[in-house]
Amino acid sequence: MSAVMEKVMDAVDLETFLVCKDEEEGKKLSLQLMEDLGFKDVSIVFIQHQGPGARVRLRGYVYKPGDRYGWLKKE
Amino acid sequence: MPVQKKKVLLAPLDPVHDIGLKMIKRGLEQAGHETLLLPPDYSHEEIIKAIIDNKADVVLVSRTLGYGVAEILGKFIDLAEAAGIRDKVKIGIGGMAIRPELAAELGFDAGFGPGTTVQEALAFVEGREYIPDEVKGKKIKKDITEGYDYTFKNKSIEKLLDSIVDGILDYVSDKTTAAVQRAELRKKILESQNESEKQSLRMEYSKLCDETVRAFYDSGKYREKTRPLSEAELTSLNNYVLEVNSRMNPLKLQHTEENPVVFIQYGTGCPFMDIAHIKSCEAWGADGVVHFDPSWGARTEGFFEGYITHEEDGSVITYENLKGIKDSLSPSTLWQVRAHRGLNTPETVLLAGKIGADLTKINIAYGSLGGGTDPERLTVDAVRAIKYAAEYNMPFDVVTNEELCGVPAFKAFAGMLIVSKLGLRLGGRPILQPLFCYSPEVMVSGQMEDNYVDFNAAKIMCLRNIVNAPIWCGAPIGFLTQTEDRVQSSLMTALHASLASSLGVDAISIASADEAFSGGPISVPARIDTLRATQSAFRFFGKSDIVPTKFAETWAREIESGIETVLESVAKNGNFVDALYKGLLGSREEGAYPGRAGSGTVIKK
Amino acid sequence: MAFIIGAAGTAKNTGKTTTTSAILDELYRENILIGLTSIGYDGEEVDNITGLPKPRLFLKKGSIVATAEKCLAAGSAEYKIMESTDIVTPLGKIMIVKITEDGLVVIAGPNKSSELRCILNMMTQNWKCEFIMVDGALNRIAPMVETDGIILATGAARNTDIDELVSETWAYCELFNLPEVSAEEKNIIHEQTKICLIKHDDIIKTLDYGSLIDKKSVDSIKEHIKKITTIYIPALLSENMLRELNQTIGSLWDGKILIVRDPIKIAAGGNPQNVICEISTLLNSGGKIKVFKKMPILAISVNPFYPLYRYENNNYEAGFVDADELFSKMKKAVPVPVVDVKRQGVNVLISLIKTHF
Repeated sequence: MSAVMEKVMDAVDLETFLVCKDEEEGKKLSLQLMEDLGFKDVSIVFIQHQGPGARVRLRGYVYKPGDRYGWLKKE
Repeated sequence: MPVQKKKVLLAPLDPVHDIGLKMIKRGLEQAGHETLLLPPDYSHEEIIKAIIDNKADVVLVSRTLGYGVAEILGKFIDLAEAAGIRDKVKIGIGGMAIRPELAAELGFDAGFGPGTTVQEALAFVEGREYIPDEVKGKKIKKDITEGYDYTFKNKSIEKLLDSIVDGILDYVSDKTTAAVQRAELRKKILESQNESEKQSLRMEYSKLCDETVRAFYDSGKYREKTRPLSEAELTSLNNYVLEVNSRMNPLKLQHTEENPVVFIQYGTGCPFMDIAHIKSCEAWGADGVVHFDPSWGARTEGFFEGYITHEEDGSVITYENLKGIKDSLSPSTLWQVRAHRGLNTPETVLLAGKIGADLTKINIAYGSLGGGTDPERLTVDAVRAIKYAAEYNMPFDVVTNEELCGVPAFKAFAGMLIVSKLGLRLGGRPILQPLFCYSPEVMVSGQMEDNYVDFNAAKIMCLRNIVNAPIWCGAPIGFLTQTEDRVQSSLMTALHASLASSLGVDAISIASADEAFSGGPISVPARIDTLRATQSAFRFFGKSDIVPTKFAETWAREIESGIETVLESVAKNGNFVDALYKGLLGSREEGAYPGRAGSGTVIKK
Repeated sequence: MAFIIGAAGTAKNTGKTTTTSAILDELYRENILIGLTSIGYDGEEVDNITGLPKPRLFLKKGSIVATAEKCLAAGSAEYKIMESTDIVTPLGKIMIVKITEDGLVVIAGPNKSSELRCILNMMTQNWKCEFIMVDGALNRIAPMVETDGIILATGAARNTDIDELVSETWAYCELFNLPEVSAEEKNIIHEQTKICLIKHDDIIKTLDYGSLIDKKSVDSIKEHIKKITTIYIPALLSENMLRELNQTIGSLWDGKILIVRDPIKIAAGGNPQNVICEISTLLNSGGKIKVFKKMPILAISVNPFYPLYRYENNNYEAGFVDADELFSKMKKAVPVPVVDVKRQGVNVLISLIKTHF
């Protein structure tokens, strides 16, 4: 994990709009995008598709409760 | 054709009653069907027996899907089939995760997933094909000015306005400008069928333009940071719009008929990005869109031609650019092209009218005091522009953005009322556009120290006391209350929208959640965020009202008497243009500077 | 006459479509006109990301297919619409098409018996199909009554306990193997839609329901039992009411005949092992049970696969029971051929089908 990622308290949310034909395609693109960005534990927090595409809020978890948190380490 | 009444059995297969089933029950009963809701603990056999005993025509089963549940539902259908009732009753299934494919797999006649409307279930019960438009209510283009007769309740204000308008009309009667002449030439170019005639008209037109525009007509040179769009780009845009239109099913923002029409403003610089944004805003429920042109367009004499993109804020006005945008709009979308400032006001309104815009925007006071155009020039241009607006049947709003410079509301309103009265006199239909904003005036004087409600409410109350005219709060509402944070920003927009709705205004313009961000262009998610927030706020308040404190009325009276005092001074001054220079409608100390663009360009006829 | 067989399953993932597909592959070697439809839509192969059905049945040029309108576009085979029917499913109208270029098809046929009958008639009469496969959907079996026999697909997806699974399959075979009534008996009851109480050749009472699913009907039967020789149930006979009947009538079964319409009318009403258990009670009391119309299980296809839930990653992965054990125990228990399609292919089934041509 990068040094910056270790400073993320729990998760990184990504807010965007994906041009796609339906919600299913939007979901697929969302997961692909997060995977391409290197997130391992990914959730689609919110997705709403209308005409041109999908408004999404994607989440990549960096730490979940119970993990060993990078931000607790001594510098 | 009257619908045959059906007997509908509602059978929850879940251990608890499903709320969706109860809602459907209510809807079916309202439509006159007989319903019977079975208790949730019935066995499959008991349900089958109930179907037979009650001679049900339709059965709606609800079940939340989980592992192994599909088999249970399949078994239920087998049971119905074995019992010989499968041909006599229609069986539908509803619940989370139910999709048509699954209903087919399970052997049901229809499947209703989350988001199913009561009407959808009703169509199934009645054996009709479900057509979403029929129930979601096709969006209709609304005329904001409908039902307003522009009667002045404050007669002394009306009298003052009439005398000022007389003065304006008298003042402009022997004057013209290059902008007025260009608009006339443009009209001829657009109406000519003859290419060589068009060409010679263009040459004539170019002589009335600034050097940058003349260079375009003379040698095809484009302005810096602009370029023409290629044929391939245009084709791909057309395809994109066609594709998007085929899957458009726009949301509705309004929850009650009292909620105002909602406009968004666009002007990314690129007509393509504009269209992409517009389509998204339409999809998320925007009722209207407002075209923003680049700021240099206001200071440049003359318009270019063709499809032109721009790398900075504001989308270049050309016939083709506007036409391209217009053609991409959904039929129900209201479209406004602003012409309230700058050196091309008459031609802007002409183009908008020719292309079929629904609305335009004209205000001499703001355009010359906050918009940078010379008062005399804009007065002459605006009169011609208003005439075009009336000719093309386009209502126009009279915006009061000079408040943002620091001009107090009562002075801005005096200017707005003058231009509105001028509009009425010229056969136009003006729309009052007071701001809902945290203006410099209130920052200094403290009217918003406690809340953002009272002073905004006072503005509306005051205008209502003066004249029976449509009101469109702008632009955008909540200006200077938003921060760069999307949640805070969307919330502020939604609350201002609710206040506007509570005050019964006809329309609002809303910002994106990026309103306070100045580091780059607005993004489409930021637009959707405020649309969603506004929709939720309308849902939350419904027909309930926001109650201002007693200050609202006090301030409404103060603003009204302030307006009267200003109008008296303008009338007394005798010359409206001169009053603008003198600062009677907003002074230099208040932040209003008479514009210099186009100064000294008015021509005596 | 066309030969029509169905591939019915006891649960999702038991291998219905795999069996259908394997049979089609083999039969394409023979020179017969093949038809294909299904009882609804087999959705287990839906691509959960795209939401689109993944076509699994590969059809060759010339085959006749009856499937819902919306499924036509999802396949890769080229087709020509031969007939548009009035039968509507959640995925659109059923269309009868002829495959004009080999490729994959998605099948979603009619989901009711009456509609399946109608489609099968069109396929045989209008389009001259000689062999028709009816693919199953989920664990549904009822519309299969319109076929000449079924291949029952079962496996670990239904139950990972092999002994339990074998016992259940055996019970199904027993149920589907119940003897058919005589021609004389058929004459008396063939048009009846309500439960009939019969004394020799005379119907002495008909009840209010076609199905035996309530206690009151059981009581009526009890009231008349001494005066009658035969009970005919034209629709559903539920496991619970058969048990009630046994408890109420008990030793009075002696010499009486219980007739049900077809095996499915009992199979649908409960757990097959329990039903067989109740039938034994009836037989032990001296009663007899027959079906109006037989619908044989032609073969059993077994599948060791099952979706195994993994707690660690909140996901399903492929699990398998001992395939040899499953196969051998099943073979030993049931009176019909058993195949494990993935391991042995379908030759046994093909030779069985070919006996009909």
